[in-house]
Amino acid sequence: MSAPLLPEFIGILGIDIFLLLSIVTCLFDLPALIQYVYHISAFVGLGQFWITNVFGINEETRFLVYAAYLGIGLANVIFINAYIQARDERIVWTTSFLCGITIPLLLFSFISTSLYLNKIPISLPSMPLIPIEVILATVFVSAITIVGSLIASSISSKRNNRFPPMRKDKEVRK
Amino acid sequence: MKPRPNYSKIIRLTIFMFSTLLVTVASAAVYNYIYLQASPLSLKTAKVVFADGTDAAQAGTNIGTNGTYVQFTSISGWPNATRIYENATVIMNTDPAVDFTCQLSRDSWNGNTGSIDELFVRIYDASATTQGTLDVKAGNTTSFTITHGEVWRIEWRIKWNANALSTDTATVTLALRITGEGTSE
Repeated sequence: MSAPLLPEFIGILGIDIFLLLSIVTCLFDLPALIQYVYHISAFVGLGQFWITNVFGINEETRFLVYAAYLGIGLANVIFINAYIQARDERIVWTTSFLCGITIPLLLFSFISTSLYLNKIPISLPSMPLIPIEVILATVFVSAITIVGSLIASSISSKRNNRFPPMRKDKEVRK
Repeated sequence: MKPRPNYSKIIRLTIFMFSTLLVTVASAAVYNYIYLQASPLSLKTAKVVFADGTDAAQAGTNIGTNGTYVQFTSISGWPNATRIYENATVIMNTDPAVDFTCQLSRDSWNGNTGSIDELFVRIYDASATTQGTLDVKAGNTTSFTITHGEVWRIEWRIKWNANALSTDTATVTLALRITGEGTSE
């Protein structure tokens, strides 16, 4: 069945971008706090779904909120791309990031927003309906996992600060 | 020297990927949920309704709540003769602007139907012109467009077989499908 996109599609895109950012920042060894901030931002996006649905916010406002959220996500992708270049100065990584993540995401976001604004019907695969209780339980389990990981990570970093590892270069300087 | 694997990073990455999977599934499910949501489901007054005709008492006309249903409890005929209820009920288009296209068809037909030779339902407009004829025995369908603000009468014409018994009965249910709502709204 073909139907025009809902503004929530833009929101889903934003959520996926923040999730991707959290994984990418983890892979590129950015500070753990940034990784968690991105992951929590994805949860915030999911929370927006709930708020807009419960309070019956009109479609135009929903679109503006989700578009702003997507815009922030994309700005962060560009920032991370630039940060990796500035920090590592490896042209291969930067170019790979640019061509593999930044440009495709920018293009896909632009196309999705354009499809929504022009109300062009597109065919999406129909999915089985998941009960709302299962969705809430899934989000809850996920949030608990993240909070647990955050606590474990902070304990681990405190322990490392107490017993800093000896570095070879420092030994040489002595 | 072989570098030590960063277990903290591996665990964090695994957790992120697991959480990502959950959040992605949840957000897609929410989208699916919103996509299928239709609200509010509102109620409107029916614009094409039935009302008693001048032969309502003879035909045993019972108009249902809101005028969207009508039942005739005493339509009877004679053997080998045609009996006509000229104005068993009327159909009214209460909308001031919209004309509605109606389709009258046989929904069910049972009992001693073989003993009935003829059973016609005819729709007449305000100027007594036939707008549609439904042959119940043949089970055909008739379509007509009722003009806004008009009141049309419905006629029943029945003829039992010469050999029909006084104990013979039949039941017929007709369906009136109305389209055109929303054409001017």
